[in-house]
Amino acid sequence: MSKLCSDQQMAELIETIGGDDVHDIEKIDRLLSAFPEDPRLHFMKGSTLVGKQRMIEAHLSLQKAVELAPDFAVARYQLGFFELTSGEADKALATWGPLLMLPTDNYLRRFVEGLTHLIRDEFEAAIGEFEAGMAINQDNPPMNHDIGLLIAECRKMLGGGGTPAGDSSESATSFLLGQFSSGTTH
Amino acid sequence: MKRRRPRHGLDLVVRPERVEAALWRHALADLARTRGKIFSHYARFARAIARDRYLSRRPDNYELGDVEQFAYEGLLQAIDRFEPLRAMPFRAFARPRIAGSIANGLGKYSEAGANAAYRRRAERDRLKSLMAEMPEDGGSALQQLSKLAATLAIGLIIEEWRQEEVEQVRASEPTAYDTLAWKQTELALRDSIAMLPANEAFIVQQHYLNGVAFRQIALILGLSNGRVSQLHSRALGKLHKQMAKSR
Repeated sequence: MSKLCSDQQMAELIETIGGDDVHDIEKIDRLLSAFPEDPRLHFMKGSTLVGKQRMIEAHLSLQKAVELAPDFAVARYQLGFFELTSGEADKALATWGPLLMLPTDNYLRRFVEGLTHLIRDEFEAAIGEFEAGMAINQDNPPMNHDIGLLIAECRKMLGGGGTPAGDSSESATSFLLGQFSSGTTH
Repeated sequence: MKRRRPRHGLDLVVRPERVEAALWRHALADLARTRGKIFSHYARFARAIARDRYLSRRPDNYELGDVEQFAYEGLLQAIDRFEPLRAMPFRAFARPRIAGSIANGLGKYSEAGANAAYRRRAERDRLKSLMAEMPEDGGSALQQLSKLAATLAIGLIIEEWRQEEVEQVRASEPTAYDTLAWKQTELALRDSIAMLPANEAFIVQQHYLNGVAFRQIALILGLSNGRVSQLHSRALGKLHKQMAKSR
């Protein structure tokens, strides 16, 4: 039997938990009991737990997803981002380490490079990397929205104004990790 | 709650509720090693409850420092009993325990009289700690006394920072504490504290800035009272040396 649930099962799960704030974790857990080694399910559970403010369990689930699939780049990025927002910059950098081995035309790598500059208060360099990442990012345009907000904040730190650039819709990052957008789960 | 104006890049992304959750995540793995950090994180919260209780009673037989000690005892108990995976936030869990600890403590305190006032006890502990570590061949009695006074003064400077936090509203007239030289001394001292080994820095910060008794610090760090006293003396000795160098 496969370690991963089928695409159809995954699609059904996504459909069934949509709008169900009460039983969503229960439904993910049910599929996880059949596919305990499916990193996508752990990632989904982690993201859902963040929305419920269950941060300790959320971290465990995101971490499990990355443990099971070290090359699951989006999960690794989100885990590092979660750690960064938890004040664990060193931990985030360690988590992101493998993403820096990705080619320079990978947007996650550029975002990580930008966040690394941000940690060091190197705002101009951070903006440069963020903008480069946004220009490359075709897979996940809404993620550009968050990065655009971050660029605006960096510009403020540099003493100028700034309006967010990029797609105006809410990204998976902001929804899953409740970071920047208003009207998120926080 | 009003958010502080960000000063660093990290401030743009860090979220307080996640920082708190990360502390408890670490506590689940090893509470003994994390207790100090958790205590530091919530000490201000416990102190605010203590201040509130103190101001509402305006007693004349005990001091704010005494109430804070009871608040810290309640906080420690709450830290040890809290179950991080339960849905309840820590502050909601801890508040009634801290208030209860203050009420119980003050009840017993009234019976026992004011002999064990925190302030006097703390001063006695500090002096004992520093005198125990004074080398016997450390110069003349006058030199030793001078060193002791200088080391005690370092503690008083650090305590002054705490006082500023308590008073919040500062006098508009500049004081001796506002002079450039004084500010430089403060900065040098803060840097020196940051360079101390973790346990020593913790003792200095908690004892002088948060007014935590040696006895409670010993509980937090899982050390004996004697060891805390020894580390305190060592830390102040280092700060004294650093300050002498930076003059």
